[in-house]
Amino acid sequence: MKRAIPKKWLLIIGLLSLVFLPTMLVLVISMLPTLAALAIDRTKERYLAMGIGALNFCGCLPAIVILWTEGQSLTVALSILGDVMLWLAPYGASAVGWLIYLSTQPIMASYYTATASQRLEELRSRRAELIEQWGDALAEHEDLERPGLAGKPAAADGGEIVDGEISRQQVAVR
Amino acid sequence: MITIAGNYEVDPGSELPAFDQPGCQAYAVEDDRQPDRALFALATPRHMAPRHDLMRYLMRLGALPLVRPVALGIGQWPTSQEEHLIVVYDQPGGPRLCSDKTPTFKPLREDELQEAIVEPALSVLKEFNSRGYTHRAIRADNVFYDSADKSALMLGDCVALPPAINQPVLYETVEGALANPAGRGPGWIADDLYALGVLIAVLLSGGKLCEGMSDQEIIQNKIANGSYGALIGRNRLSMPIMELLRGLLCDVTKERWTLKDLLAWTQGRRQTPKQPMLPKKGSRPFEYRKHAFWTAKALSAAAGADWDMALEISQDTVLAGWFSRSLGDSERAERLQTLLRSGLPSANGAPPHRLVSETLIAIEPEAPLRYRDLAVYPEAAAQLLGVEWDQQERRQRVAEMIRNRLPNAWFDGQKGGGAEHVLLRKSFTSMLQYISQPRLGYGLERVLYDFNPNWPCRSPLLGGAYVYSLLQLLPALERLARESSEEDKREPADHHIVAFIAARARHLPERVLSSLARHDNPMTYRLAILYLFAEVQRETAGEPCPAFAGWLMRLTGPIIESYNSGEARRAAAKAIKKAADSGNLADLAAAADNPQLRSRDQAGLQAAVKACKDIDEEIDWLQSGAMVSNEFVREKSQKLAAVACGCLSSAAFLLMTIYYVSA
Repeated sequence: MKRAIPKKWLLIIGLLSLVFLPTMLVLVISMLPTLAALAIDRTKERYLAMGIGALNFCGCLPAIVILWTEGQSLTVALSILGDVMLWLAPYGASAVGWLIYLSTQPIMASYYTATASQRLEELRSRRAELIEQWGDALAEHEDLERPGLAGKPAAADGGEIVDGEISRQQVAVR
Repeated sequence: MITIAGNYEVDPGSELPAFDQPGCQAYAVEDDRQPDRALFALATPRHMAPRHDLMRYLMRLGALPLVRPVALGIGQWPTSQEEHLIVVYDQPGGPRLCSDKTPTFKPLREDELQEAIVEPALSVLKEFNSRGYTHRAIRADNVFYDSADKSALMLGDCVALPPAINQPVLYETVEGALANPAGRGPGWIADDLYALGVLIAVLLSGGKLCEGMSDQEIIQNKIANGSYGALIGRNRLSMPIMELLRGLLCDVTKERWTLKDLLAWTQGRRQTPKQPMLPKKGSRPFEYRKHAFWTAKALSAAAGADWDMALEISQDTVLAGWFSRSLGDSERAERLQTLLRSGLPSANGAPPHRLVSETLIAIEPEAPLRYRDLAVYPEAAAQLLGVEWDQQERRQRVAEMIRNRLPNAWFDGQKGGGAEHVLLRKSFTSMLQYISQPRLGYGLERVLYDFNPNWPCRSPLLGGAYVYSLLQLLPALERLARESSEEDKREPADHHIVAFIAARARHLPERVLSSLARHDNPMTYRLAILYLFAEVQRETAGEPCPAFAGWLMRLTGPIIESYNSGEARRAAAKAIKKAADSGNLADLAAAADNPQLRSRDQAGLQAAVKACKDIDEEIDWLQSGAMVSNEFVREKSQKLAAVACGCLSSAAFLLMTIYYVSA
């Protein structure tokens, strides 16, 4: 369910926009890539928007510094918006963000593909250790008996039947 | 040589038949400290208990005209390798008065009687009576001359065998004679005085009393003519001797002479001779198969000895009428009528033995309790069970008798009894409870050991060992464990051993016995066995018994197996082995039953189960390919990208801050 922005925050942003109009103007226009990322990223966590937003904001800082050092006026704001080099910084930073985002996915896919089988082996080995240590007491839990996995009791594997029951030591691990 | 009590050397190869007792052979003994002392030893039968209490009392006493025990101990017989309880006695000064081979002897003169037998017997009986004991073995073949000149006699042994077990019918009162020898019990001093009276009559006759008569004939003769009449008959006796014998042979216990009367007689105070008190005779006889019975006592004696006859007369409608019209005893007639009504028709066609027994009680309440071929006084029922344990049928009869609550019926039939009967009734209630629980520690075996305080343990497991108290049990089992091969070592707790321990141990927790019934749970059952023997060792403060502990350790397999983890099993096995090597059974039980280790093991198992479930879920997840799915990779890469962007922007922000601040 989409969260609505609280009314009091809208009111604060509105008041700040009136007081710092030039700054807000520069910010809104410079941060358009972040707004675009927000629109694209439909996940709950909004990692994409956060990553791009952080770099985008860093890119805005030179323009904001100039605006504030030269007096915060609409004239300065408009001149800054007219300077291509000052546009390049926030948009370039956002592009770097996008680049990072797009490059991590294949890297991570390769990483997980490589580690999944290793993890599977690790888990099987750990399970076998547990079965060896706890024997048929563990195997008595029916939901843990998994054909094809470690821990299935196998009395026939050299196991000796004592009093009609398989003793714990004889639980073999496949 | 077998050493008894440290200094008595019994020579099993040197028999002394002159001192044999029925069922006990006598052997030569040497006293290391007094080599000149004339002693002999009796090896008691393995399946019976001597009279330990009386024996210990007599060993403390000084000289008495009695063959007196001086020491007792357990010795292994070299020929049979079986242990026997051996009792060492001082030899009497002279030979035995008579024996089976030489039943007759020179009759004593009346003037010799007082010094020769009455006074010696009186001094012994006074001593016995002061502590509530009875001799119950006063008979001619158990009397010895006290010196070589044969001037006086002394009473023979009375401790090597259960009381009255070898008394001939002749020496027993009519009631005592009706009981099985093992079912007579210790009786009362009045029974000893009666036997003394018979002994005097035998001494006067030179051993020719009632020659050629069967037991049943002697009993019927005593009933018909009274004991005095039956034994003395028309023989002429001097007035003092007649007075003595009429007093001692009186058939009514309450009227019989007491020790005081006897003492008065020895001091010369003469009393009027007691007149014979014969049982009430009917106006007409009760007839059964051409036999005519004139008294209830005679009928009871005959029916008690012939169960078929008892079965028939108990269902005979004439019987109650005979009591009512001929004997004029309407009370007993009414009781018999009630029994007859309740007994017809017999339940499920089986002979109504219980009703027959009750009928016999109604006919003659003072007679012993008769049940089929058993005839026993209730106080001797446990002793009879012990003596006849090897006869399974008789053993089961005793159980049936208790189950049918016949002792209670017998007590109900008695006129007196009071507090003593209350205690006996309680004993039979306990017996009934034991019998109704045929599990380890209960059953007939528990009756045997609970109500026969020094009865030897009859467990076949003990082999040749003689064990009559807990003190001997663990040493015997330790010896057995050392000598037996591994294959021979069965479970060391059978019905006999557990019942024996349950009866002898004072502080055995009931939960141990109840756990022994848990055959469905091998762990609980075997732990209970360990605790049982640990309690014996604790109670007897016994020596360590490593061999027996090793035997018990074999039982701990299921206990070790019951731990879940291999680690806990190894720890338990190590602790059990260590405790077994030390021979301390309490440590062994504690090592096998370790609650800390068990709770750690349980907690570990729970954790392992949870870990295993988690692993299984992750394996499922991995095998489903979720780890390399687009959604998962996208989520993870977005996260990574966000982190990378965050780091990069932080670095840029920092550099810009430094730049603008420095500018």
